[in-house]
Amino acid sequence: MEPAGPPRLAGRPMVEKEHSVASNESGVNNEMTVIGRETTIRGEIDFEQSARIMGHFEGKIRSRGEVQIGETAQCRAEVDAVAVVVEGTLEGNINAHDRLRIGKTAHLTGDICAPKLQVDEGATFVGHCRVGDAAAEGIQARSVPTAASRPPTAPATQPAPRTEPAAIDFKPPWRERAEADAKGEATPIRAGGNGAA
Amino acid sequence: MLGSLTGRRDETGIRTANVQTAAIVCYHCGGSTTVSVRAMSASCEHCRKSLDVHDLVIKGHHWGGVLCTCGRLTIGRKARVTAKMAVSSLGVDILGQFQGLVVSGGLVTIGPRAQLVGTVWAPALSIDPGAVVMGGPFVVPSDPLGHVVINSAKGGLPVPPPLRTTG
Repeated sequence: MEPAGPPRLAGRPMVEKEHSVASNESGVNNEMTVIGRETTIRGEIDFEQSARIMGHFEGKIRSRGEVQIGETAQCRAEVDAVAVVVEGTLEGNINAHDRLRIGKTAHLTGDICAPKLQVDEGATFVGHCRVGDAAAEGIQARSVPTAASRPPTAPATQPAPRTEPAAIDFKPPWRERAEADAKGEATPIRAGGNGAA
Repeated sequence: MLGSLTGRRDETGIRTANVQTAAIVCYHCGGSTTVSVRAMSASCEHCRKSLDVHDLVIKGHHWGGVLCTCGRLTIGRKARVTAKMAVSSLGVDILGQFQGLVVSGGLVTIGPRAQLVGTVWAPALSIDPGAVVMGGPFVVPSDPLGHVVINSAKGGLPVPPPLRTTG
């Protein structure tokens, strides 16, 4: 006799699981919220534990656990979490309180701030970096507010203000010079280069 | 670079050299030049600028100037380097402290105990956990040497050196 369970149709459960149990990088089994790949969410979202995003998201993500941006994810969001793993596409700034990993399939555009950073070869990353002890001190000053202390958030139907990643207006000095030469303008050579303060 | 320069006599009795060659990418204009694998320096076939072909390893302190090589650039674990710019055609390994702009035609690796303050332009970037990285922008992937684009834009003619390595 089969055990009683949810009714099944063609071998698939009628009710999709909203939560799944998975193990994060630290090896601890946490309850993880999964946003499926055919889901689009706009607004602000808070996770008390870990979360994995496989679909589309626009807005702000906060978590007191680990946030995973899956390979199929398309996010335009500001992420504030203890640990962040990016394997998909993300436009926006990341604030990781413990660690940040940018996988080889990641496409990240935005500034990052994390005490520990790991970038796998093959990742795409355009943005500014703040990694190390100084970043940890800066993050602790802007700690994640708890759900009780947090002011009431806007309704889910109202989209959160979009945070664009910091504009990058930089060209290597030889590119500028090559463009100037192509235009026929003689530009003076910059003595200081760039980036070497 | 490993290689050998072996000489042998052909049928006419004239001693000929069988030289193993390697293609290098000029860090001035991005053009490709063929040199012997044992060469330490060469001149670019396109822009006629002198090139350092050998790999560059810095183990101590270094301050100022531009570090350029057609090989790999390695900042040793105990090295402390402050430079305007580090240009490498093959790639850069940073294991110690480096401050400045990194321009690489290959993979840039930042080791677990490295400290990098500056900017990285490279086709690929690998950062090990534990590294301290500050600054930006990091543009990965990018083609900072731009050898294909620059040459094709000028119809294959030699282009003016876009990168000044002096001063």
